[in-house]
Amino acid sequence: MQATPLDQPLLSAKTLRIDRGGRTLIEGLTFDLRAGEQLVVRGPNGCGKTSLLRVLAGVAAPAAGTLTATSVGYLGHRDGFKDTASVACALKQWCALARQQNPALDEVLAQVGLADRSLFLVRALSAGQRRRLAIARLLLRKASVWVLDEPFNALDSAGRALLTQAFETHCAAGGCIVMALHEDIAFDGAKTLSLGEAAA
Amino acid sequence: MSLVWRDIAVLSQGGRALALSCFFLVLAASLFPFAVGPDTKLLSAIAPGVHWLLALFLAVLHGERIFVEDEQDGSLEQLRALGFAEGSLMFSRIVAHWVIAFAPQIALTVVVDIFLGAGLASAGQHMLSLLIGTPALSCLAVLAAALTLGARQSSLLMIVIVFPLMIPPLIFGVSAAADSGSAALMLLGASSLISLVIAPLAGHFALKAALK
Repeated sequence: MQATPLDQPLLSAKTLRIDRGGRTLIEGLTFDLRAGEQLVVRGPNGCGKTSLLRVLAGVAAPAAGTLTATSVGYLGHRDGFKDTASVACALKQWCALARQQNPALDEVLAQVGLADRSLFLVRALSAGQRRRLAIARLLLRKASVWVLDEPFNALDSAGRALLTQAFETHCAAGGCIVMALHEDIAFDGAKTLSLGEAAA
Repeated sequence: MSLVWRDIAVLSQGGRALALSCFFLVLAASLFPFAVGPDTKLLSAIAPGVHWLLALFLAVLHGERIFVEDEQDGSLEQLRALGFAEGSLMFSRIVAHWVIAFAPQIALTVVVDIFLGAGLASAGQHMLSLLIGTPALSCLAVLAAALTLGARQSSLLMIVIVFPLMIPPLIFGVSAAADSGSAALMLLGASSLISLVIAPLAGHFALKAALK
């Protein structure tokens, strides 16, 4: 992870406007996230949570406004793994693309509970295991900003505990997290951005 | 460079796409003597056109899949999140498309020429024209794939967009393959160079719109 001075925001959004299908979903959104901070984006379906996260992750461009971010790790609804690749190969390929030298594959796979699955094909994994694999890629990426879209989806209680633990470690190490969560998932100790109310 | 290797690995589907190119070429070339008749004079006269028509079909054959899978499984999102610009995504796919569609064709030029009864002397000229001109076809195929990404009936749209745009390289390519005159070859080279500049640039906007 890159060393950033504590007062310097890792992610900074200024007057962001986000459109989808010709409709403005979010307007004039401004916020900064510094090391150790977590921001939970909440709101009803269709309020623009995913669109916002895609912009924050650099996948899509905002309709207006500026965004500055240090290295971003993105966990979306779709994981970008090919069914026909093995678990270890899939991770290695993404590490090569992220220019990660000698990634600690075995260590991270053990951490997410997939140590005995490294030679399995991705298509042989369950939805929850694929999610764990995507989390493994996120951990290997060593990005300072995590942008996570419904990260607890498909995870069992052990998976959820593992992810919460990873959040703590990441924030303690000087990273920050933005995540979209459903209303019914409680998450303490984080700033909240309520999109439905902001738009109403 | 890692992106180019990744795209070649993904698009070649463990070598199956390369094998498809080879089988397509050999089978299609072997059908021409049946369709046109065993007149070697006629077959060798139409050989340049055959090479280039096969090139067009190969471009479209591999063109459809260029972005679709990666868009559907979320790979494109991940690549963008890793900081790869749309232009470099375009460029690496142009290289990957060329390797999968046209590297086999250039390697098999002699085989196709044997089916068409053309001599080895002309095979060199055919190979040279394909080598210089096929990058333009890859650029156009990848650009069309980017433009039709997310559209319904994308295969139909792709054919409608790509074939008219491929007519200039087709004309220059056939004349460069038929005749060793340098003018057609230079025009063919120029169309490849222009396509290599324009396709990543136009594709940048097309992908941006598709990923919105």
